[in-house]
Amino acid sequence: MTAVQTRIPVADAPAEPNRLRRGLPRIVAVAVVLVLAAAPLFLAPFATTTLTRIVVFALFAVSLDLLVGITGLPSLGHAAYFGAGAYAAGWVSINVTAEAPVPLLVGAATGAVAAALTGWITVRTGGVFFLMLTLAIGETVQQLANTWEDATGGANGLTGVPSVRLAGEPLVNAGYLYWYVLAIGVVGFALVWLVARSPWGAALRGIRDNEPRMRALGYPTAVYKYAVFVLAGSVAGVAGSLLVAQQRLVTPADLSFLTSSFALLAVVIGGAGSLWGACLGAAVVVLVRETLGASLDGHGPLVLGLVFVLVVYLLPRGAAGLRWPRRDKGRST
Amino acid sequence: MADQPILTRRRLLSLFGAAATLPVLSACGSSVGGGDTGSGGSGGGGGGTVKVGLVVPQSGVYAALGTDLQRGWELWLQQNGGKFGDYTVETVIADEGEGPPTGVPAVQKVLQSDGVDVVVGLVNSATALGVKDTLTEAKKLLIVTNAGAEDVTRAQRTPYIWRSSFTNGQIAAAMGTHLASSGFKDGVYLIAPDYAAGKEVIAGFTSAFEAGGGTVLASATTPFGTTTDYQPFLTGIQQAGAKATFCFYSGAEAIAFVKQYQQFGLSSTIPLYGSGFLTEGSVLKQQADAALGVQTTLHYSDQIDNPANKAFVEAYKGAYGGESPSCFSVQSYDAANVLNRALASATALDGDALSTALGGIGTVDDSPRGPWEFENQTPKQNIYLRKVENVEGVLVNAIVQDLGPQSQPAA
Repeated sequence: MTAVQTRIPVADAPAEPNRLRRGLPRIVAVAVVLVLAAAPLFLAPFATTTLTRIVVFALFAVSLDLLVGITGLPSLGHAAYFGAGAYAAGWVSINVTAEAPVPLLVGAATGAVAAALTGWITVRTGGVFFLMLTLAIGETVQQLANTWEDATGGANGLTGVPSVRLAGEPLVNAGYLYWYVLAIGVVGFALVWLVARSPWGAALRGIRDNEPRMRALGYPTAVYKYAVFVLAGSVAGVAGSLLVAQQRLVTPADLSFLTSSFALLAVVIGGAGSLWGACLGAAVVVLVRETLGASLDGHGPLVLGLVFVLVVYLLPRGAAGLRWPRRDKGRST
Repeated sequence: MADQPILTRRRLLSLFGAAATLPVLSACGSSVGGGDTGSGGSGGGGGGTVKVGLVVPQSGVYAALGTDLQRGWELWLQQNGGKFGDYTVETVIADEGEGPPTGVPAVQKVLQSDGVDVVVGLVNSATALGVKDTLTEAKKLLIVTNAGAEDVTRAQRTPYIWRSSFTNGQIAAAMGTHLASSGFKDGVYLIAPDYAAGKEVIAGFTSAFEAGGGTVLASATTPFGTTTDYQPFLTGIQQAGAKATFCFYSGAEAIAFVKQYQQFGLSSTIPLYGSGFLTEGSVLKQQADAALGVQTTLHYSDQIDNPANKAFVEAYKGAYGGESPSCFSVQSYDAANVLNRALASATALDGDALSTALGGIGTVDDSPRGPWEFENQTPKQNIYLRKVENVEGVLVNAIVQDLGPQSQPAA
């Protein structure tokens, strides 16, 4: 639908702006990454820390968007995989090694395994049943985190996680840590983006729009959904390992329903199905909830709720649904 | 085309009013290179000003507690001209929220963005444990005004984190000793929610109770934060043939448990004992007459009969529309008190100097809770046995007995 609409005004436009318009997203993407990479050179440590948290949460939201926006599986318990990855990465950092790729890989593997174990049941359901099942799984995993004190530290959380180490050097400096998180975040985003653009991604959209028809066409839709569920769990696990690298602490609250719903909120603010929109949504959520919320006399949740209501009312397709007004709008239609 | 939301400049502006948060990010400086010890920079001395970050819950389930904490802090400053000795106190308040996802960033914000010298507050134990690295790296002092986890001043103890409140086990241990010596050597049934604080309370009670010669009849744990119907557990208490019940609940769970205990008819046959939070502060009003006769231990009650407390209660009621102070109000009131004492001898405002100074303040002799002193950076204080009574139409935690000074239990 979007593609059709953009093509109409472009069709009778000269060739030059056409090419330019097509290249624009790429230029913007490169520019955004460059600005993000340069940010810690100009920002104070607290701003850098906030930006780090935004990147972590953005990757988590992107992994959820792969389920919600691309495949049409609205999960209410996605934080379970985020938290599982975070706990695993934290545990490995404390008890084995905090050397760079290890916590990351362990987080990814744990997220994937957790999703593989639970997804086999959940993807066979749909609609309200999928919502309820994912919610139940999320609650169960949180209960496990609360009670399995030897591994998780219980309600007091897993504390004393050492800084992640890169080539033997601990990344204590907020700026270096940010670059580490950003690098992994960009790679994770690129991975999800490639998947979303691949023929597999197209099939997932097909499942979202009309699953019976996809099945009739011969697609093994359950397998497709299972695979994307595991992939999303794995990316969420990576985001979890970045979370623990940043805050060096994991608590049951990190895999609570609240965390799941904030990720869902980020996806909705950004526009389900748009990966960069999810990042934008994550930035709004983190800024309002953590940075702005702290100094609002306790009205942080209220502001976040207002933002949500406004987005749903004014931007039914989220930030990604926004289009710049075109001069030739009246003439072309 | 019609269903496509079109962006107008005005709409964009109104939506991204949230972009007003960006100035927070544009705080200039660099995060790369250098020691990166955190502080945004106002720092030491600052011409006789000490900047304090008060991080308490202003939203979420602990908001009522946060209000009491903030009032206690503000009352002390109001009574002392807003000064710690020669230092003018500037307070920056941040919302701790419900847990570490909001609490940890709030502490980082006051430290790194507002550049405070001292952090005061924290209700949530996981948050208090989770900010250890941040404080150690910034070399700033934190006075915990509630969080009762043993580890804060035991396994995870650091010179930068002190506590003006209590430990979970400390409160329960006093009750354990008391019950063992008052005819309940056998037949005590324990019940608490299944999470860290509940387990610490049970452990603190059990070791003191057994040291006094008692044996626990049986114990049960209830799912934390999700239990609303305690009937199955109450049946269990009855069937076990308990002579007394000791429990640990707070907030909404305390209201539900105490009410159902009475409705189930147990309160007349099996007396209910608990850690003081069971009947402290706002929950007591909602439990109403169901709480009558419940006995608890705590380090404070507004009924304590000493001149400091009488003056405190009167001033507090005067300042806040007749509302009585709770133990939370006293915890932050005393945090201000000990900071004032420490600053009298501190050589600087960094965490090391303040920590040393706090170690030398000796007994705090003018606290509403009675005299107490720091021992391993947490209060060694008198614990009171209290009983809920109706005094002229108002439910209060009347003092039954002063159980004497109690330390944090050893691991």
